Amino acid sequence: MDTMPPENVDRFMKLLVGHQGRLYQYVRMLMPRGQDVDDVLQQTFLVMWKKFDESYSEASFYAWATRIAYLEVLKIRDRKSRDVPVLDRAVLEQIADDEAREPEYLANLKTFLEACLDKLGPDDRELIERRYQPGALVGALAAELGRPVNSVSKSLGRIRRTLWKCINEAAALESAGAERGRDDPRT
Amino acid sequence: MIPEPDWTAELEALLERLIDGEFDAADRTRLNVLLTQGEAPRRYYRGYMRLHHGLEWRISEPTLRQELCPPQDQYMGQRPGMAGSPAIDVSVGEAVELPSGQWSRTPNPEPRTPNPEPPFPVLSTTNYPLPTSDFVGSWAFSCMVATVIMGVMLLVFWAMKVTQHQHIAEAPSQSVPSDVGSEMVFVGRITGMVDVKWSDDPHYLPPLGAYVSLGRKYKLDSGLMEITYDSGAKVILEGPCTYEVESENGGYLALGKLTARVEKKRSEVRGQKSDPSPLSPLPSPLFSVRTPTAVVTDLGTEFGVEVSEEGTTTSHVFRGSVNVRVIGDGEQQGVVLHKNESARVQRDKDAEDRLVIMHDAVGNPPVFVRRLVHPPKVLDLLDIVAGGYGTRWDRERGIDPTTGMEDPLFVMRYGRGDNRYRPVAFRGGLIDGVFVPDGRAGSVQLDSAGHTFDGFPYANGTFHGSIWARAADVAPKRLDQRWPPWVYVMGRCEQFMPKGRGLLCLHANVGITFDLEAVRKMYPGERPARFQAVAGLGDCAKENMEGGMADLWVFVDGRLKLERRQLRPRDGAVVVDVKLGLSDRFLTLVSTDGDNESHGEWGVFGDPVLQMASTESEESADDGTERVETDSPSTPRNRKEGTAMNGP
Repeated sequence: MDTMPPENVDRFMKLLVGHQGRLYQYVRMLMPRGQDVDDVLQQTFLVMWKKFDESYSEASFYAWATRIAYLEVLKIRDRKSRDVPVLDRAVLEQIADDEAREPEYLANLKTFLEACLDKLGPDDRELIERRYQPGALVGALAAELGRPVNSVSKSLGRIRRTLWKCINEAAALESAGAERGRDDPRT
Repeated sequence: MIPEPDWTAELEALLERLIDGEFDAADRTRLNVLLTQGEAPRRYYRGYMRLHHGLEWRISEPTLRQELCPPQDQYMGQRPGMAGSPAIDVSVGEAVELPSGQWSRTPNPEPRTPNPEPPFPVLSTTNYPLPTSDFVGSWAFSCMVATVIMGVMLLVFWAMKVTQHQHIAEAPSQSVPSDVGSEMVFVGRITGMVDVKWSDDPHYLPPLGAYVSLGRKYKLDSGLMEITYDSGAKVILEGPCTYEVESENGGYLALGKLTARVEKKRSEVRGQKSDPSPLSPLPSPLFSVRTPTAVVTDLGTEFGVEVSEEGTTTSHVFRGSVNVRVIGDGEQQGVVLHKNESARVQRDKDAEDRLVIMHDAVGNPPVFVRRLVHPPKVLDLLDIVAGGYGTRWDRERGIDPTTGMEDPLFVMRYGRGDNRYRPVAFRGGLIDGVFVPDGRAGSVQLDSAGHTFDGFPYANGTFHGSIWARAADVAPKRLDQRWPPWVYVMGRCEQFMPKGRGLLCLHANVGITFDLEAVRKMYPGERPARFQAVAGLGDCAKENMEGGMADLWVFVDGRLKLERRQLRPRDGAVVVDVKLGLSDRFLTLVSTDGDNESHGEWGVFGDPVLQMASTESEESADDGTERVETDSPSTPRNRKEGTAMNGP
């Protein structure tokens, strides 16, 4: 399908842009080294564009998109079979299955992440921001800071663990709040 | 019974190395093992990686969007479509979720002009043919794709960073310099925890991460914790216990029990030299445990140390030997203990029996926890062929015998080999390789060590389909095709899988070799002790085919262990039970045609497993004995025509 009614294009774009962050994370989860992610995402978008129709709901869009992305990941693994991927095929399948069963797991990580980043101390906040700037290298970062690379890596690991703990606590709190809301007859 | 281990610390450490670039092949193997141990570790992986990629996306994305895609509302309604196509207004702003303050609304001084050409081919790195359409050529889509692709370019930078970091990490270790001042020095990692309860001592601060620093004290009220030193030594602390990491080669046990297992790692594998342990009285980089009354120094071994509340030290040797030196004794009393020997050192300096040696303390040996993980008792070879590590129930995958590549679907074709042994590069290294034996070619290579065999029959050298791990039950969809593969239609195959595991299908002429050494490495302290299966030929009478005839072979390091020639379906099941020695490296299973025809030679090894045994509990079984039992009346025919030759 090379043509699409404008209203469908509008809808497709809304859905795609709304989910592209999660889709990116999904593909990166399956290809943690990041190589060939561009090919996979681009081809995924093209397949989605060709196959999209108005019947896809907000709820089903992500599941559909991840299924296509998963198949594209398999294709590129087959094409580049000489490269040893981080994840074995069986593990890859299991992770994809897990994700299909539980697509909402930390889907709103972005919200929690923002709040948790705000809780970091200024030094930690600056370090993690600099680590993820485009082109940032831990080695160069360490040189700038005048610290050993090993030490900077450990600090980054510690900050990520802090964020991880914070996000899980926030998710648990939200989940508990939702449970209370369901149990509350007034709601 | 020891409860299941807490894998969190190990998984977290692996993911940190994956993210920041110190991730190596061993880590990859271990990560995959952990991720097959249930949904919980995979959920942890999904979440942790989502955090990492969320940070990538969150911090880098706004910058990219500013550069590539100016604020939506600025150009809304001004964007023409491609030449000849109508412009499409795409209102995406309300659907975009961005962290507050991250989306710059600064007007772009350079109004964007429409792309005169579809941007895809320029941006693309793929070989896929790209469709042209209104949308694909539109500004919105190109902007979106460019955003994604630029995001990916970040990953290239990230990969560059990984490479550099890896280089730094692989450089000679400088992790324990003497002049580091107050810098924290890490000498190992926490690699396992089971029900750990930290001391509730208000002055004690439990560790926060998985890395183990010099001077770190671990006070456990209960539970088990494993530390893996960078030197390769592993220590299991058993609460209640107080242990302080004093050097990269040892620590101080003030109270409680530990087990130390010293693996040869750094000096032999990396070719680096370790500094001598400052605790050791011996002038070598040996692992030592200091206690209030003794210093126990490893001499290549596994040993336990217990310190009682009275300060009495008891040391017991499980393997190898240790040197036990009494502290505070002017005469420097010491003793070397060997396997199953124990020694006790009392605090009282004046006691006559301050140092007591207990030889062969088998009657009442000290009780130490030696492993945090229950090793598997059986490794399932079908799971390994299907891509697992032998501990799960993966099925329905196979390997192309001519390439060593994975076959995700059974490929039904007649093929011919090229007399080359094909290494299998995946499957976690547990499969060494595959091949297509052809007796006409003379010697056939059986494994990567170069063992060969020249006794295969003069056959046609063709095979039919993948080496396949078939599930016991055939899903209806497998049969829902015009010509279902032979692996699904063979009759009377239940006799080959009494335990319901499934079938390793080897149509003549194919061979597959498993790497027993890789198994031992993957499951330290354990070894494959026996290969067991039920072998035979599947019945093709149901398919109106004349019954075939095939030969089945089992080799260990090129030595012939089982040979069944000219088997027919009516010969029934052959129970295979082959002992494996401590140092056996390769197990090879082969099927060849028995009558120079190529039909109905449906060779199978049903329920194929490796029975595992502890390397310490079992004496060497390397007696070369072949143990083959059969429950069918037929007897082996044409035994041992050929000779097996050991490789280099």
